[in-house]
Amino acid sequence: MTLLHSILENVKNSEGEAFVYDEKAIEEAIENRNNEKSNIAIKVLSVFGGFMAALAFLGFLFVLGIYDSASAMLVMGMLFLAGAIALNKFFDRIIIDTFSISVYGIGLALVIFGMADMGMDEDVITLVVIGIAIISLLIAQTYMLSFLSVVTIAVGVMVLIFSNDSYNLLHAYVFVYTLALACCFLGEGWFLATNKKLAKLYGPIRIGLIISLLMGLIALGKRDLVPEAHGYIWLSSLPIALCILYLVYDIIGVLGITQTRTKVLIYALSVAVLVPTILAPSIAGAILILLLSFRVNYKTGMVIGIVALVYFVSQYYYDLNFTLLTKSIILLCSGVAFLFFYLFISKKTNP
Amino acid sequence: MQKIGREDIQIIAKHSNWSNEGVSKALEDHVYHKAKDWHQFLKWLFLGLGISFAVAGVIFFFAYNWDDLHKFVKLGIIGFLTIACVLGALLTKTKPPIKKMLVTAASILVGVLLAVFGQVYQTGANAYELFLNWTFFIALWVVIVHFAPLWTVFVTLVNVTIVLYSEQVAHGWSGVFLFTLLFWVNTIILVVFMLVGKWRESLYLPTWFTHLLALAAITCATLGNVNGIFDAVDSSYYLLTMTTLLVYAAGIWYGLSHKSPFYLSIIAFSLIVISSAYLIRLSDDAGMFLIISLYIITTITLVIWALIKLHKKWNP
Repeated sequence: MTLLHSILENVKNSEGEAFVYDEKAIEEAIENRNNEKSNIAIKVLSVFGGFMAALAFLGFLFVLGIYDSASAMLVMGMLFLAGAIALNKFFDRIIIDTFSISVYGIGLALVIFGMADMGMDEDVITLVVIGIAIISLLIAQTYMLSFLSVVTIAVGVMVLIFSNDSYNLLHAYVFVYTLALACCFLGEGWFLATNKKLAKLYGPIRIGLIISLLMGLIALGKRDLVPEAHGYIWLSSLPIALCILYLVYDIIGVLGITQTRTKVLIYALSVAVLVPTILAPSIAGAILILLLSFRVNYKTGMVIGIVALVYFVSQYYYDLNFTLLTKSIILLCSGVAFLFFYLFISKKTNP
Repeated sequence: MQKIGREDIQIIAKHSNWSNEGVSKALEDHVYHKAKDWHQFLKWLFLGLGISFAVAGVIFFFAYNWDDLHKFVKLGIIGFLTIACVLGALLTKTKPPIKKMLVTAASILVGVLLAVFGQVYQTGANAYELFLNWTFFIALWVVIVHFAPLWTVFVTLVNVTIVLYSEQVAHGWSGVFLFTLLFWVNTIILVVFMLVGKWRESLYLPTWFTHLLALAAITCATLGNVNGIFDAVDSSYYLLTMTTLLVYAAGIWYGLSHKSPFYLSIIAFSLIVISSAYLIRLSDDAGMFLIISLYIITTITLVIWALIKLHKKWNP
């Protein structure tokens, strides 16, 4: 525990006399953290298990004939949802995760089917689902449920956009989630310091926002998926480009570059790289995710960013309506430009 | 300050009134990447992007002109590239990993050469023959160079050859037999590599490779068993079941003795999937679905509980 004490001493020195901390709670939390190491294998197992079990249970209800009664489905659904949220509120063990994910999933599915059977409007159902997800996010505190709630909200919004054919709202979706992602990543300190609940929710919100933004980017990435939205495609790319430029400004600060000439050069090169991506917000978005994740040393985000970048760039060039000759020239020129960047940086760091 | 991690900062922040600025500064100092990391990252990023874009540009250029090229030029270019890669690996004075990557590139080019040959001369051969020849031609290189990514390419080729053979030539093979064969081939390769790694330290291959092999082998076993549960037409199903049980038992022993949760997780997951399939086969009425649902929840929860306990035992 001496390591912990020395760390706390250092914090107290930098914060001043007003710094108070709950030593017992901190010791307990560290003890717990060592006991409950959850790695990615366990998380994947619980999500898959929960999903399969939920499917099987729904199969059971189906064969039993519950789908004949809309109100029965609704009531059962709400009971299950309440149960899942209560379970997560009072128990925070990884063991319970599988069970609670299934119960939550079953409850949500039943509520949706019940409302659909009652003849409610599609949009109202989607709004109710979004509302349930928001409530779960506010009440329950566990990692998996919060993550699923964030993703559910995003899925709900997407469903609203697609079912109402208002495809240009996709740009608003990307705009909002880009800003949310940037604030989340760059404001980690604020999240952790402000509120105990926000600090707990930070991890799941971060990965949830990445997945939500990715969904929007995928919808925009494939040209033929939503052709109507491509008229105003710059509405999506511009906010992303601006965020990236702000990030470049931030990174210049980290790198400690003071010469104005270098700064101007870096900005100019960044704009040169971003201009071609105006027509491909998915590529710009992947770059943003990659840069943000690297900035805050978030490995999962970095991997997602790289994979997304490779996928979106490949897709973009595949869909491009130019001849192979034109594409090859574009690629070659971009390649040479990147190699210039590489040489520029190599020279700067090995003078 | 000593090395503290993101989680430590999170815990302290949650249970104290640490200010926003203080937390941000702590994160900057201990968690976020510094200038040196950025330099490395940007260098590798631009190098990787530059090379892939330039190579893609060249490939697209040839694709554009492909139909107009004379057949000698087509074969000549690929042959030249292959030879250049191999000579580059042999004669230049670069670091060993780069040499090995050159040989990997050459191995892939061999396949491209065979494909172009087939296209130019319209030999009408089966796709499986292309993969078979490809596998044979690069076998010597793969063994000598002993590079994990190259071995991955090779094992993929072996699997693809077997699958294509079953589709295009051996029309009598049942699905279960195919999966049994794939399972055996992948498991044998996996065991050989593990033993070789134990016998000679220098021949050890990285964990990601053995894990990938194990994943492939277990996927084949799972698919084969599920297929066999619903559609067992010949005796190969019993062979598969017996060998699956033997291999899984060995895998669990290995996982426990070598403190590797990976093998335990995938074997457990595979067993749960197979047993669920068996339950569905028994009956598909309402009661069975409920039983399956509870069964899945219970078994996965037990597996996770066991994994956590083992983790605690191995990392006190």
